[in-house]
Amino acid sequence: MQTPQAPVVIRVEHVYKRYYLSEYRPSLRHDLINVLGRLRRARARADVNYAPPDRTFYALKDIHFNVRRGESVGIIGRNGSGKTTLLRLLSGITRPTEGKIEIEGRFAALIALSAGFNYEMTGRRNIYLNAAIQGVPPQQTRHLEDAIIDFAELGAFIDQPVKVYSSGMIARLGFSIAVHILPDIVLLDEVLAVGDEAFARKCNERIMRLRDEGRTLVMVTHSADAVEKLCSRAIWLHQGEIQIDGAPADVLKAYHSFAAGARTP
Amino acid sequence: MTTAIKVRQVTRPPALDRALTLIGSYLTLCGALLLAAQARLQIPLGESMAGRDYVAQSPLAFLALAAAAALVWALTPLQARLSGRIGQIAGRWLGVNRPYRRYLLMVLIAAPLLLIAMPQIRLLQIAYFVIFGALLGVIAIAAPARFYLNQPGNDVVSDLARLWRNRFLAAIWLRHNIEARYAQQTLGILWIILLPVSTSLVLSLAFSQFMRVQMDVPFVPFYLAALVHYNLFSNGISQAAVAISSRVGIISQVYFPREILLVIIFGELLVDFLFTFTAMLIINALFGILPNEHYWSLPILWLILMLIVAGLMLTVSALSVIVRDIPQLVQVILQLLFFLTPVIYPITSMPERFRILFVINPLAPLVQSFRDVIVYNRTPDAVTLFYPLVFGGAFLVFGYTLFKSIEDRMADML
Repeated sequence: MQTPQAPVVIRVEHVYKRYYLSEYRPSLRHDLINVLGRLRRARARADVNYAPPDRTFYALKDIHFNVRRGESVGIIGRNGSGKTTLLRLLSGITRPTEGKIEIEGRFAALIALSAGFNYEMTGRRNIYLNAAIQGVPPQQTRHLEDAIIDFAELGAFIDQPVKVYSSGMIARLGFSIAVHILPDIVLLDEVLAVGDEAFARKCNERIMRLRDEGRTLVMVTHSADAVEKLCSRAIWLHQGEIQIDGAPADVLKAYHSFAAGARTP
Repeated sequence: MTTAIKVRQVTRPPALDRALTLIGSYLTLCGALLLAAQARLQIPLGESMAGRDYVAQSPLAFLALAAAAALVWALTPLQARLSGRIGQIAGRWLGVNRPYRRYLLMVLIAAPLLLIAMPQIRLLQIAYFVIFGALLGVIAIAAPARFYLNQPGNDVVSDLARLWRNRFLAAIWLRHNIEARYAQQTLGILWIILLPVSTSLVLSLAFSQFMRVQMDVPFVPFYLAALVHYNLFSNGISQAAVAISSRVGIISQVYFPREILLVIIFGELLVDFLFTFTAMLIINALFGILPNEHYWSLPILWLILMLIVAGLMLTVSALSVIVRDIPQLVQVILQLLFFLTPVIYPITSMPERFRILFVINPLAPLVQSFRDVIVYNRTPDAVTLFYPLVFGGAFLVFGYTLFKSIEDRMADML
């Protein structure tokens, strides 16, 4: 699948993501007590290299990689290794503290378990809302509506508010919308972990089809099986840093031997 | 189409950007001129202008401002060619990233030009022009440049284009919210109308029977004309204060221009307003107060009100992300503002020495103008509206840029 000549569509350049720990969350009380300190910090914070040592942590450190068109990249790693943060950065929900991310393509869809739905709205309206967020106008969505509902196997539930859905139903709807509006770049966050086996198989087939159509995939998953079957490349994240970036078989082997021994390689 | 997350490619000719900066600076200069005129005239709210030496804002004055702006604009490319000490000074005052200093130069050049354009103008008015010009520039030019426009990767034109591309999203969301409100509650629409009407009845009872306030018109129309407009403002601000924090779920899961959330609130407010305004017309008719020929000025007044509401909504919702206590603070301030705005009392019942509050509060002249038109059948006092208009315009720019500069932190901070 990997063609070296294909243009780079995702460019991640030395990206850092810093979070403030919760007790450091600024509040008015805090500000009033410590006006001077806050002013000094505000000035210091404008400097990208500044970090108060104890109150921040880096979810991602010096992440640097390119993805070419048509590649499917699996991101693996233990819980808290920064996988989801990376996807959130790619989808534009948050921005890097340092470094830059460039994405080229019609749009990038992030499909997470809850898929950014408005829980008060019906499933049907959420299809339009979600598609509109991804840049698809309603006139176009109208043609896709039936196929989306069909694929998600929601039946009469489609006219119920999303808040009454089970987590499996939400994930199915989110997945169905994303594969039907056909983004050039698909970001998947653990979608294969939910739904019954039959649906998982359907998803796998669909993802393979997207891949074969030449779309770019980036997926976060704990399933070694999925990485092996679906991905042309794997990236192992450990404590916010890229451990290995390479062929799925090699990365998985290293990851498994690490997980078994549970020590840093 | 490129969807770069951090660095957006700007393919516009730089001349267009320079032209936009010029237009922004020129509008700010005009705002300063209007403020100076109002300050110089010192018109107490609610009094007529007869007998005052009113220096009309002649077209010549605006031409003088345009000349000053154009002169500085034309000089700007020159500074790159100067070298040595002079080049350094020119770079400090005319540099591309120095919009406020360039604007200050315009103000200083415009001041003597104004004297030439209007020989009868008082020097005091020129002084006011310089002072208000400098202050207004801080809000509308210096602050936006500092925290947004001068930051790498930020570009207002492509932000607005992105907002426009997302209009479907706003439309779907707005439709859903309105339907949810009006379809699910039995008394849905009625509540929106009943609430102001019942309060006005209670208050009119209190004012006319218990407190025996002397009024020249029936209290209910007097009160409603101000209230329906004041409510548009206060509902907008208090909803904007929680607009971001109440949508954490969707904000942390998918990217869309966050100002859409405010667009939706604004749309809902306008729909509500449509209902309450219609109800007000009907109730006024019961009191024998019918639409009059001065209604032509309502669209202008509405525009000014919307500028203020939109500008402050953006500012307040952006601040609520930085300082989490904003919603509580906003409630207190709104309550105070309700009594500092002539909604339940006529202007004349405020003691002279406190009238200055009506001059500082941009809503006071605006609310009074609505009342003048709807209840008293008078033309609104144009000069007292200069300040609300300039205030609204400046805060729209300030609020929008503040909001956009904080936007990328919203998903992390909540």
